[in-house]
Amino acid sequence: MKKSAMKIPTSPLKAFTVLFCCQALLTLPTVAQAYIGPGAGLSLLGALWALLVAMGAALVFVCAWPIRRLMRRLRADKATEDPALVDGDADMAPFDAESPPAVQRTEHTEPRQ
Amino acid sequence: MTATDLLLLPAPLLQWLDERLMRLLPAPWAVGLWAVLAAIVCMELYRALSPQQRIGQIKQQVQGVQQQLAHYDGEFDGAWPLLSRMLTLAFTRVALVLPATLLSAYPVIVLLLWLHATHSEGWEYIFLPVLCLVALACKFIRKID
Repeated sequence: MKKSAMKIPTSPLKAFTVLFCCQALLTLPTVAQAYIGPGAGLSLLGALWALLVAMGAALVFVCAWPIRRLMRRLRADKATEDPALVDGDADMAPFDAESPPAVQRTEHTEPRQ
Repeated sequence: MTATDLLLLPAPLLQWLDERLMRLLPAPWAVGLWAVLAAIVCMELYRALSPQQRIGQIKQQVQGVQQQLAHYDGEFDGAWPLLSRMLTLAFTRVALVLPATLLSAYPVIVLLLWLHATHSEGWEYIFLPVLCLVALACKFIRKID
């Protein structure tokens, strides 16, 4: 008597066929009861939203990288041309202890009667 | 036993309870009470089944990584670990939340099926809004992630 044994498909084509059949079987049910409520569903939606945001942030980061790099290079060029402008104190006059202050203090006293 | 049989398993118990409840309350109030119970059981089940502490930690970690990425000013290669960590954390959060969400829906599906089979039309206009409001209230009061 010949024994029959279940063989696991090894070739990619066979594996694909088996997966395709499983997928087709899953689409067969005629009735399905399902519920995702507002409470626990909101948590799931929050997690899915966070996933979307993470994917979006990664995409934006990659797409905006050349612009960020360009901006950084422009900023660096500007800094080498005029370091005072970058420091933000170009319009400030150097402090001179000898020169008098621009506004002199005057003291008002009440006339004595 | 099919999946539907499994969902109808608690029906005799619900019927027995409902008969006693209907002696005390009018039908719409009884449906409302069932909705309140379903929402509380659903949310508490979700809270018990999901790793709340870990989900909270992941939320904070994702925020931290996003901030690091926003202020990142190095070479592009150095950003890959941050991007990969952010996506890994986001997928982990979904994986932690999903099973508990599906399992906690069981009592509500049971009640929906039983109410559909036993109550006259119009019960859903009371059941669903009350269920939503109470579930959301539970989520925010109990601070469920």
